[in-house]
Amino acid sequence: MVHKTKFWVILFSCVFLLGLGAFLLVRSLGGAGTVTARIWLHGEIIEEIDLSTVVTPREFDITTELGTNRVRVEHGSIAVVSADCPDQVCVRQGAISGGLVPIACVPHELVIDIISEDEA
Amino acid sequence: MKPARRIALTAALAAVALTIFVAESQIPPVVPIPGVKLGLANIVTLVSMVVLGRREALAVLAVRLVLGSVFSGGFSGFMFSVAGGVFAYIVMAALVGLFPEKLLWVVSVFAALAHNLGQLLVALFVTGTPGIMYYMFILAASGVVTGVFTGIASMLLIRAVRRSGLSNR
Repeated sequence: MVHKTKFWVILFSCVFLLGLGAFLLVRSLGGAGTVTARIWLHGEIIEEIDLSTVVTPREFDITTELGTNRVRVEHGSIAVVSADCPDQVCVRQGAISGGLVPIACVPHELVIDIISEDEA
Repeated sequence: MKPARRIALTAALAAVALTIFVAESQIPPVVPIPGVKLGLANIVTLVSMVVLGRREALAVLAVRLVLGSVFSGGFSGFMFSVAGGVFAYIVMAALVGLFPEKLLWVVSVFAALAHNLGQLLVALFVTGTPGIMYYMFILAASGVVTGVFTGIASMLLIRAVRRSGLSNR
């Protein structure tokens, strides 16, 4: 069995589809209600912002010795709009408004995730 | 193979690995997801292992990791390269004898998955944020794709090296 090409093609196809499906699922999870963004720097939460109370969009910089990220907060969503890192992955991830998958700027050790709680 | 030829071929493959590694680091990421990369340098690790042996492949990897961090990245990049490269190497070394050569791409997929796991663990360590582990799903999916790609590339390169006669005189 392990020497059959077909076995591996099917197995890896399943891994690919399950991985992709699980990723899309965890990205979309999370209830309505209060949406709180948590900004992590070097593994510590430096700021929590209740996104449901944000009325006017605002931007601010997070600067460390590793570099600077400009964060934009809007009603219900948060995004990194610019960064002085070479790969720009965190910027291209766009805004998040829920889900379990955080925005990660690994070179700057910056992570932004969202916790949402249903209002009972 | 004569020892001198063996050393020369190992050195040549190390140069190829370093070139590919530096070239890939200059390509902007295609997918806006942290950690999703082709991992082209793993091609050379696998080719070295099949054509020359595990010891030579380890030498090629070590040269690429050390000199690669000089040319790009710095210390943070070095930790990611080491974790990815060493995890992939261990998996390759363990599996390469267990599969016939026409299934070398399977070894490559397992190596790519190990590579991504190693890098994700470093990312977890560096950022200290548990939520980063949710990336493992997409990194498993991307590891399959990049592993198949680098695996097929490795098989073609192995055939080309053998045909050239570089490895058997």
